[in-house]
Amino acid sequence: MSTETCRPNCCPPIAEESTPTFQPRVDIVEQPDRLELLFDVPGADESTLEVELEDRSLTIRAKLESSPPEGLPLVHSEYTTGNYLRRFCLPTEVERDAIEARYEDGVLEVTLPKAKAVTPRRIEIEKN
Amino acid sequence: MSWTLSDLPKFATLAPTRRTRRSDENPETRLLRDVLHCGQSREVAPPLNVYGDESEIAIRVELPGVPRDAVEVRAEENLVVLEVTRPDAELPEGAAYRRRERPVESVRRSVEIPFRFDADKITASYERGILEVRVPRAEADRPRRIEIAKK
Repeated sequence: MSTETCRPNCCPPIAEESTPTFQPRVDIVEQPDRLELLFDVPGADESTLEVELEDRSLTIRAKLESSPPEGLPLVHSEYTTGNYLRRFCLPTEVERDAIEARYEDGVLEVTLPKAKAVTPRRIEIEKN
Repeated sequence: MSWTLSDLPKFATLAPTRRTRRSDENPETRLLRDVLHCGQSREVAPPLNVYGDESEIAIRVELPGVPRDAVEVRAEENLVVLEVTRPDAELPEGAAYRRRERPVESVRRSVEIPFRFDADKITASYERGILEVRVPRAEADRPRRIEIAKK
C-alpha cells in the first residue's frame, strides 16, 4: 500500500485551512483477511473523528481538542498541535459495510476486511 | 531563591540527548547498564511543550497508545525524569507490516525545574494520548514579602 504514489484523480488535493493540519503517523498491518490501520492522533477529539471511503480513497480526519493547562502560559514549545488528515489509496477492494473504527489513548484503529476474493477459475479451451 | 518569569526558558534548554545524573551509581553499575542498553533498544527524547508561571510547571508529551504502566515519572534532585518503555508489538502468524511509521523506541527525557519542589506533590495524568506532568513550586520556596518591623 502506498500513500505517495496515489494517482491525482484518486486523491483530490486537500483544501487549505487556517489551522495547521498534520498527517498522522500510521502503521499498516496486513492480515490474511483484513487490513489494520493504526493512526497516531494524540489530542484528537473523539466526536470529530471521521473515516471516509470513496471508491478506493480512504480519508482520516480529526480535529484537535486540546487546551493548554488552566492558567499556565506556554513557555517552551517543541511541537505544534493541529488537526489531522491523511488519505490513502487502498490496494484491494474491502468489505465496505464491515469497516470498523475505534479510538483509544490517542490512537485511531481502523479495520478493513478484505473483499472475498474471486475464486480462480480455469477456463477450458473449446475443441473444434 | 530569587526567580522571575524571564528565567523560565532556561530550564527547558537542555540538550535533548542529555541524561540524568546518577550520582549514587558506581562506575561498574554504570558500565553494565550502558553495555546492556547498547544495541538492545534505542532511546529517543520526545518533544515537549512546557507551560508555567512562578508557582507551577506543566510538561506535556505526546505519547499515543502507550500503556500507563509503561510510563515512569520521577524526581531526581532538581530534575523531573520521564521514561517510557514501549512493549514489543509482536504480530500474529501470517500478518505483516506494510507500513510502519509509529515510533517503537523507548523514551527518556529530563527537565530541569527552575524552583524547588516537593517530589510528593508532582502529579501526572494521561488523556487522549497526551501525558501531562504538573510540578508545583514548594511552598517554602515561594517569594515572601518581609514586613519591616516598626520601632
